[in-house]
Amino acid sequence: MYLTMRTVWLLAAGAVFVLLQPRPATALAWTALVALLVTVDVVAAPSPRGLRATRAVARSVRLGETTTDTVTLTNTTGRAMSLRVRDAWPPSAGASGERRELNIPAGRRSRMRTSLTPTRRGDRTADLVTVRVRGPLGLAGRQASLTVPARLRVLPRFSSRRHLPSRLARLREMDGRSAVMVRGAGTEFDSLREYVVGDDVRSIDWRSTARRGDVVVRTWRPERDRRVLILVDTGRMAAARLDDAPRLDAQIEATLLMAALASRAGDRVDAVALDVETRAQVRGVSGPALLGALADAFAPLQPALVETDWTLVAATVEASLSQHAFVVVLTGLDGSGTNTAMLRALATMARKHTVVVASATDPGLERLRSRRDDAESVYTAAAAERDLVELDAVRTRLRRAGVEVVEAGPGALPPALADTYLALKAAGRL
Amino acid sequence: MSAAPAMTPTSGESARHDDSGDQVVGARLSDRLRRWRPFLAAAALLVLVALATLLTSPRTSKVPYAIDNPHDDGARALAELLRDEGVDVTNVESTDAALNAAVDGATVVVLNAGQLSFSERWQLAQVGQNVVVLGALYQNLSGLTEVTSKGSSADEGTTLKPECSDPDAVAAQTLAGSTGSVDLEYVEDAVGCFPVGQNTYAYATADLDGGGTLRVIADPRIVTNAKLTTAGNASLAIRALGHNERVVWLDASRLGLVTTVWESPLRPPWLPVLMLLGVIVAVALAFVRGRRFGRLVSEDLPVVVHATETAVGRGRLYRRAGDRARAAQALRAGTALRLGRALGLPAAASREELLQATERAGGRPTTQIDHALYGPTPANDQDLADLAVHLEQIESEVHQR
Repeated sequence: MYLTMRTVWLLAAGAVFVLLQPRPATALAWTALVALLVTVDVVAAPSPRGLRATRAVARSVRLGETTTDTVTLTNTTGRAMSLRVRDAWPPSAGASGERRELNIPAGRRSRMRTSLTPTRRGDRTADLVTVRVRGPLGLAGRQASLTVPARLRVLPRFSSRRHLPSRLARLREMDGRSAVMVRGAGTEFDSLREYVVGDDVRSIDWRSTARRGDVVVRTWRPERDRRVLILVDTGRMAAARLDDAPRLDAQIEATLLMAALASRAGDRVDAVALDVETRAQVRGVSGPALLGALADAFAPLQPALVETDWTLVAATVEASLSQHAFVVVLTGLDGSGTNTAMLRALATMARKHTVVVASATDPGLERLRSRRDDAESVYTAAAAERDLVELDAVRTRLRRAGVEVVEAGPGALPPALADTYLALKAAGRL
Repeated sequence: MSAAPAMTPTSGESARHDDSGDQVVGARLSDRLRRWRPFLAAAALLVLVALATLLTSPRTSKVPYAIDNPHDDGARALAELLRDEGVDVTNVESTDAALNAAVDGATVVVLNAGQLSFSERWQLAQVGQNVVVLGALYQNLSGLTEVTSKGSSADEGTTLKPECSDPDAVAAQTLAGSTGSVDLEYVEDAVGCFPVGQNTYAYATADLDGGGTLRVIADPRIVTNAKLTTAGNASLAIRALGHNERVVWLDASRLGLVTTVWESPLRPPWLPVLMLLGVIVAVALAFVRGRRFGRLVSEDLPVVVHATETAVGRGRLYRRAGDRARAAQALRAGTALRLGRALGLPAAASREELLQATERAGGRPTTQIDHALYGPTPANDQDLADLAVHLEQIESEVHQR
């Protein structure tokens, strides 16, 4: 049950009678009369149990975009209903226009649309649909909440996709380029073409030149069908905030760009998110479906406040890769807290595969380091300096173990990782 | 789309026939009432018992000489005795009510008669009915009668005799003393009984102007529950008060006390009622505004841990411990690391190599750089801050070239 403002005004109108008959009984009698009318109104209001509600909402929406949730209410009673409806969503679903007035004649349906602009990645579960059915007098009515389950998956923003065209262009440049600098097992013979000035003379194919009469060079293309395994650490390091988003968001961005690039380059991409257990994985998906599958699988990921199990990481790599592959580990490098288990696991991996550790660094640390105004900030600067020095030591140890290290701020990490991938590909190290 | 069932009319139709088609959260009102029935029944029983107790238990008070006061100073015993005799005893709250009752044939018993106004006493005298004044000490009876109050008393040990012809007094036979008395010196047709002193009496009767008899019991305590059984008190009181079928009890000292907030002479009469209505409207408004339109939707938010928190915390620890040695060492190590990288020195470069390379790049003398990078630990926080700034300057000079 609920009351409307009309009840309040009606009660206030009793002041006229009070002025005419200034006795407590007047006020009480007027209140009793209004209470009676309210009771009549509540009893006479159509029952909200006669309403059927359904929700229609898109399965997923990209962060920053807007989608619509359509609530359809069917009046199964024999009477017209005057409704006020609230389509309840969690705050970060960014719902607007979720309260609406509806008039539904007997046996008919009516729709209301709520526009949703989510402000955070993850799954948003819709709450109840609350209806207020007004009584014939408009003084009061019945209120009820209807269970109408719905879920909206908010996909990562993937703002780093603007870096994709330039990286793809570079990939095309590599394609068909005379990769004469590298003569490893990793490069594959592509085709022969005529010599142009500037080509390395060492790439001239003398046998074909003799046969054709023209100077012909051999061209190479980058390796294809390499295995790429992306591991996303969702442990406590992923929970740390860099500027205003958790490190995990930067890692997911990097994963998406990396996967988009690698799948276009013809490599097979698998991705696993894990901390003490596997949180999400995408395996064996190729082509255009890969990005959608990745975004969908990684959208609900939340960092867990646990220490990542590096034995599990090593075991996952061991189990999923039988031959040499390109392994990207997206984690946070921390000067003070880097554990030896991580270093050992990465070093072991690097013996068999090409391993890149990509870490989103904290721009705040650099800010702290350079603030030297007073005694307090100098001590903080010293602590930050020490973190950076220790981080450098960790980086050196990793490089010595044969692990590539990519470090960049949260926004710069995806393109930096993509560039490292391209460089390694060009060098035939995949 | 698991979340969104197809929006066809058939789905609504099937839902109507479905038993679980009712989507409303929570049980029906009738079901809820059925579940609450034991509690509702218990509450109703409790209310009934409370009401019954309230209605059946006699209302008592602690007001002295009141007919509903069962204590030593009350007059409930007398009232009950009179009722046993078939006399209807009621309390009245105002002089008007007492006068109306007197017109209908009731004896008016007045306590603290001096607190009635002159006109009220005069009206009482003119009404033409029996009036009993209980207690004469310090009471002004002018207007009602010529009988005057006297202070002369007889202590409790004294046995007073009627010594008059009044049948009520004769029937009482004795009184055990009297506090206060009345003087009948200037009163015609007055009969004084139980003399206390020279021309002063504990009990007197006189005619009233409008007809009817005035009876004055000088000491009101003879009607109290404690004293009623003493000497002839009961007899005198019952006889003096029992001349009519009905008695109204008027305590003049309590007339002004029973005012309510609704009847105050200081405010306009509609104001408090309007305030009552205002309170009711406010309650209704609170209900209108306070009723939630559906429950609050909760959401699990990610934790907020800034990545720099450990560095800030460690800096605070350094400062609290005053660990300048470690702080300076960290600052120097950081600068040396970046200088070495900027100058393209290998990680294993010696102190001399670094100093010379820095001098070449920045132009500062080696001794200064040496002092900044490898000098003594700063003596105080100011020196540490100076060192930090100095290191930064060296670094920026190298980067500028």
